[in-house]
Amino acid sequence: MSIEEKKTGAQPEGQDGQQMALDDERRVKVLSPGAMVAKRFFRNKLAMAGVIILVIMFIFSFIGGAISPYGESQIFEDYEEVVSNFAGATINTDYRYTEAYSGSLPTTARTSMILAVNNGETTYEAGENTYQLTEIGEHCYVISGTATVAQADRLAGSYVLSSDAIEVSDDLTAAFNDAMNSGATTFTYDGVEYTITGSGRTYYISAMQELGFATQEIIEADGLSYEAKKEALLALLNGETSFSADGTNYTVELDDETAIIFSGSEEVGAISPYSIQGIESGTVISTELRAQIIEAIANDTSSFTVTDAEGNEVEYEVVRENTRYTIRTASSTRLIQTYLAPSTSHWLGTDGAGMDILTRLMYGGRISLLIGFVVVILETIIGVVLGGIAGYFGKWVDMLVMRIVDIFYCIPTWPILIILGAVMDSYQIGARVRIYFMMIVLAVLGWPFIARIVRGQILSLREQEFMVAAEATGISVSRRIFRHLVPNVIPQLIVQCTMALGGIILTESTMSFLGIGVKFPYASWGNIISSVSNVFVMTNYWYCWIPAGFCILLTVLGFNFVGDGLRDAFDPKMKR
Amino acid sequence: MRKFVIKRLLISVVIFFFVALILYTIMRCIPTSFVESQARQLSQLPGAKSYEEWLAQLTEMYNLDNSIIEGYFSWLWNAVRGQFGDSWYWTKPVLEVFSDSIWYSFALGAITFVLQIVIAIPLGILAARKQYGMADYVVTVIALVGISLPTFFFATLLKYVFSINLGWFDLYGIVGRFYDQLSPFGKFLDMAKRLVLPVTTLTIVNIGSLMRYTRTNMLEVLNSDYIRTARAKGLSENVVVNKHAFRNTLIPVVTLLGGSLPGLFSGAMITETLFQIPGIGYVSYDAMVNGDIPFYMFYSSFLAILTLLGMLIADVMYAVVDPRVRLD
Repeated sequence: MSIEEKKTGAQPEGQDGQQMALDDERRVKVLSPGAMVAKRFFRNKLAMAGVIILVIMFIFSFIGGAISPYGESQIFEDYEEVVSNFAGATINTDYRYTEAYSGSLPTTARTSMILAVNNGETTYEAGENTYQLTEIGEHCYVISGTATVAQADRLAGSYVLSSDAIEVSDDLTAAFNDAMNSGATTFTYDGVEYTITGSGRTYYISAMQELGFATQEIIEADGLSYEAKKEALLALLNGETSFSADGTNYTVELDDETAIIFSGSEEVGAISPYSIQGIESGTVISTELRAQIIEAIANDTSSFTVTDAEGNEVEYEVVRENTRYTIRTASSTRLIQTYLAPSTSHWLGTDGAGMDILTRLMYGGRISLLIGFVVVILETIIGVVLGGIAGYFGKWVDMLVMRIVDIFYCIPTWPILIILGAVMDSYQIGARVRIYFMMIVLAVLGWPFIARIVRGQILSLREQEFMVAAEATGISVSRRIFRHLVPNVIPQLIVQCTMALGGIILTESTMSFLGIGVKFPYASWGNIISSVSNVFVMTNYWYCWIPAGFCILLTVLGFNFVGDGLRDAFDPKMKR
Repeated sequence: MRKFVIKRLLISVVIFFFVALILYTIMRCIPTSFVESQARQLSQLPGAKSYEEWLAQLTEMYNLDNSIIEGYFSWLWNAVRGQFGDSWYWTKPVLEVFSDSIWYSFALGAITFVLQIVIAIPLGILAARKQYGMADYVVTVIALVGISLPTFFFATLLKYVFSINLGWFDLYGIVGRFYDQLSPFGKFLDMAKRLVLPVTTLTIVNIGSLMRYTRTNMLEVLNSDYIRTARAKGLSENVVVNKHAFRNTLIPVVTLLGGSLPGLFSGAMITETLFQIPGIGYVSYDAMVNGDIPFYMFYSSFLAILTLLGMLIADVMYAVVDPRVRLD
């Protein structure tokens, strides 16, 4: 339907709907010079290819960056579960001591005990004290010895006893006072023989007493009293499934070498021959976890789950290596996803900093194109003004300006760019400031060629008749320059600027490649490629640098095609 | 002619004076704390002079306590006598570093130059003869791609393909590991092999402008009246092109090439750095990236002189090659 309409609409008709004659003047096309240029331009295949490339690059850079779901310097991270060794459990072969009360077994008593056990003795001396060993099981000994159990201070004619280790009863005090009064150095109370030492106002009462026990079993029960621990050990040794201590009833779940202690249904501890230590220093292993590990070892289960303080279920694995058990658990580690291969979520993968390369390319294109345009505009302003002045006024003005142009033409660009880059590096100037600075430096170093073109053009245009006419009609100088001369220069200027744009993008990307241009966090095609300075990246991650290189190549090529096409379109003389 | 050359020379000297002044001013605008930190860094290099010595030397060398103008004149006086001081980065006299490296650059530049001429001029002429034909399009596209190729990318691409994937060449360096054990001819071959990739890079990247320049000028000549006359006389197309057109095309081309002769010494900074050819470009890049001011002053003055020389040669060549040009 719509095609039909179009066809009829295309019929050459006058406004009143009448058929036009073949020689109707409305049918004879007269093209303006601008339209001629456009026609020639659009017929040039290379130029059109350039236009298409440029349009694609602009869409890619300016719209693509907005569409891309990722940010310019968004770093992609991943949490990866890494199973690592958490703790080790080994069969213990050292004696561990449990003291009846704090300080009851000094170090000398402990070390001498081992000697005594090895020699098969049941009593031994350490320091000034005598200790007795009672074997209650294999590698399990109860240590008792004469120890000071109480202190007696004379107060108002009688002695008052105080003690940490035993319960001081009135009867005991009375017995002591009797002994003191009778001058005896020993007394017996409740079947225990006490010895009195000391003099003056303070006496010490010592007695044969249970001081603690030594065993090669490891008792993991922080909450239990000495009595309870000892009873639990005895229960393990004797194969009993329950015991009571301190008025509490405990049940014991026995399995070969280990015992899990329950108070009611709550697990309060475990006894095993295994000593459990964290692989990394500083690992805190709770009693509950220790008990769980022991249970797992005892039951030969290879994994178990424990709910940690935050309520998460953590799974542990138990691996046996000879006499050693290793407890492994999965811990999550934060990983930056560097050099990911292209995939559906990252079409061109990620780079060495874990950023999406396609998105970086889009933002990089923005910066490269923006820098190109800003620099060319600045160059054009300086070049047109100075070139125009030189060309129009001639004589000494021309001489002066052209010598300035020569001077700037001779200034070597790269040494200056590099040395300024090195200085900015050492002052750690921000990336944004560097971009502005780069634009200014490139413009200041790049304007001379535009000034030359403008001057050359104006020099020849100045002598033409229309300028004589303009002068004769009394038009002001600035109007003559900017209304009559500069518009005639514009075609040449556009051609040169288009070509120059490509050149500036090349310079900018080279600078960024060398690390003296656009810097992180900003992306630029050049600094994306600079990852190839690492040969490993160049060899293994083609997607990190080849797309960026082709972006530069295509964009510059686009500008050059368009510039070339424009030149041919503006200057048809070249046609044979 | 002599008068013209002398006048141009004098102008060149004046221009150089101002260029060097600008270069010196830029150097002086670098805050002095930078110089101090440089001296500190330098003094920490193994076997280097002490910090005070460096600072004193730098200050004296560049008259950093004097005004810019005063300092400039004393620098210029030293430079004219060939005293450029010691490079901070290489810890050797600048001129020694220069004479050690310049011939590598020259070799690289000269080979590229010859290849460029051999390839670009025939192709440019071919393109002009077949304007808007297939050959012209191909040549134009090749030339524009060459111009548009970023050197660093193309060099990396070549390394990726020929060094890494095909393994034909080594990635870096000008001599191989067993260079010292080779016979003189073997040494030559070793170096030549290592120059293949850099020369290819430079040739492809630089060939475009000469190709297009030749094409443009050839077109201009082919459109001129005397070519039409030659054709009208009934000369064969080959004679017209090879005898009449080609000779006239050579005028601007030879001028351009003459003007680019001094450029053979300027070194190819990016290419040399990427292939680690110890030419002047690589050496000066390394020095300047590390803020080596003596080397910067020397190398940029050197480049300015080369540019001026190029302009001078181009002007003289123009007059010499084309008998129609008369100078007054």
